Amino acid sequence: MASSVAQKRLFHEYKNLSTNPPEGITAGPVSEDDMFYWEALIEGPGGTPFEGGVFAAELKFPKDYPLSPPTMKFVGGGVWHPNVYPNGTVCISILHPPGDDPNHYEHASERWSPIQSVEKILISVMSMLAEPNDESPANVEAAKMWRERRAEYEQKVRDEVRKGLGL
Amino acid sequence: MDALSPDKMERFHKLSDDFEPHLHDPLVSTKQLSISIALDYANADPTLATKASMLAVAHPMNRIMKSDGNCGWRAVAFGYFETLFALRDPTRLQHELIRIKSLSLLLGQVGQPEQLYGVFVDATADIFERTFAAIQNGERNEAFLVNAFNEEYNSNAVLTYFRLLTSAWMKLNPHSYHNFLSLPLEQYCATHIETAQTEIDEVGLQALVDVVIEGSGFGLEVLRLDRGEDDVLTPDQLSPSRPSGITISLLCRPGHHDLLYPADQTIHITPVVNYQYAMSSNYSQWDQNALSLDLDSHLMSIPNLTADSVFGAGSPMFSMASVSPAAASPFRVSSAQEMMYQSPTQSHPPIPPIPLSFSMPTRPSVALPLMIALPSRSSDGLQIRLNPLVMKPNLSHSLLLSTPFKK
Repeated sequence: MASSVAQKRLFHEYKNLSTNPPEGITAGPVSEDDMFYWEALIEGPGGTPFEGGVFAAELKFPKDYPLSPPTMKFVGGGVWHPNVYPNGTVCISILHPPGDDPNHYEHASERWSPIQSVEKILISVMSMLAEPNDESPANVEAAKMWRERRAEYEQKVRDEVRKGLGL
Repeated sequence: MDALSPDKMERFHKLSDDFEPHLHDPLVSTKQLSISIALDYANADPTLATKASMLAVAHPMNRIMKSDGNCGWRAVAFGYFETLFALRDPTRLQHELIRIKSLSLLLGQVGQPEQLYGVFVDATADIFERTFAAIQNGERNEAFLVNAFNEEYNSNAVLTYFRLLTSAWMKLNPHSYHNFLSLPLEQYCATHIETAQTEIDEVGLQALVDVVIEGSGFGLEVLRLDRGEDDVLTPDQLSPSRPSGITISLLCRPGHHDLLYPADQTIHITPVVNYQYAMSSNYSQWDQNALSLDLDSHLMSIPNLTADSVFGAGSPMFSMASVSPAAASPFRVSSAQEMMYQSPTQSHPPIPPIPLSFSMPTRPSVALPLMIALPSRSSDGLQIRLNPLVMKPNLSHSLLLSTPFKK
């Protein structure tokens, strides 16, 4: 039962996202045969060093979605960011239920609850790109650079974005 | 002291990351004897130990919830469905199903889109249907409900629906709750109510009772087993209006909730063995000629021998006057003792319809009878008496500890 419920819910979310997509975000299942594996494209928010970039990410949903959150990972590299692990996995509070914090850090910020949605996750990730949270960094080097050598950080991000676009 | 090497540190970090306590505990246990809770606390703080043994007398059975951050929510939800099943009234069940489903209108009122919460309403309706089928099929006990609540998805989906209802109710009735919160109500709902695996607190529990339980006509009381000043277990009634007198009892220990079952609910069980009692109205005589059997170590090694005792504040002596008629009758056995002869793992007997004229078990302030029961093993029937001296509170712990049925 669980997985059919999850499938139904994911289909609804997919339908909503495709009829009424938030600005700068596209997402959907890679193949309609598997509703539990999605790909998303997020545009780099304007006014940040990520501007102009388009970042591809994969979302993997558990069978008991929406009771448990999906995982999200940027694919193809190129996201130099305090809250993104070097392998691309996104570390953001909305993707963790309480008591499941890989960094043992008590956020006051939003946690996963079953009434969150793919759309809310992607919007949160977009604002995370604009405003890193350096209190529980997933990429310590990036966090240090962001905190101490902001100009260098921004230049590195811009370089990565251009590389990602094949320029 | 040497600092831990990075290797060790990493290993400890990994251990702590991977730690999953009580991995194999069921989400909802079968009914268990509360005496085991009393035993758990036998060596603890005296206040706790006293309260725990009181608890075991007034509420001989309990049901343990897994400590997964949902226990309070799960206890209330399970207690609600179990009570509905025990009533075995299909019309009432139907009525409750309609009421619970219609509560989803609240979610619409706070702007939740139907496609996000619909699946949780469906999962809850599914539990209603299973309860209905169980009544129709004449199921003897609530094992089906225990199974349903141990299916993690369904169970958590019902809890999610109850969480969402609680959150919506609080947002729609902020005046009742905001004064009790240390943070803005919206934020409280987002972080303490809606979020998965966050334990229920007092405000949330009250709101859950107000929105889900109150309309059912059931009452909900909370017994707090903590180190609070007063040495009696006074139930907090969270639903002051109890039109039908049926009450769900929660045991609240700091950070954890379980279900409790008062003695009255399990009293109609046919005894499986014959019991013989020795009850005397003349304790002073015992005092003078202390029986050689008193707390004899051989006696204490007899399997299944137990003693239940509760110590009323200010009335350490137990007299016949305080023995309730039910307990004095040889055919009415206090269920704590009855259940003593049934394995806790055994599926328990059918729940009888809950009596409508519901009387709470004897309050702790009233001295309860001390009773010793022993299955008759020979035709001449051994009679056992306890010297009243052993009932002094300071001896109660060793008495409990020496009981042979302890695990």
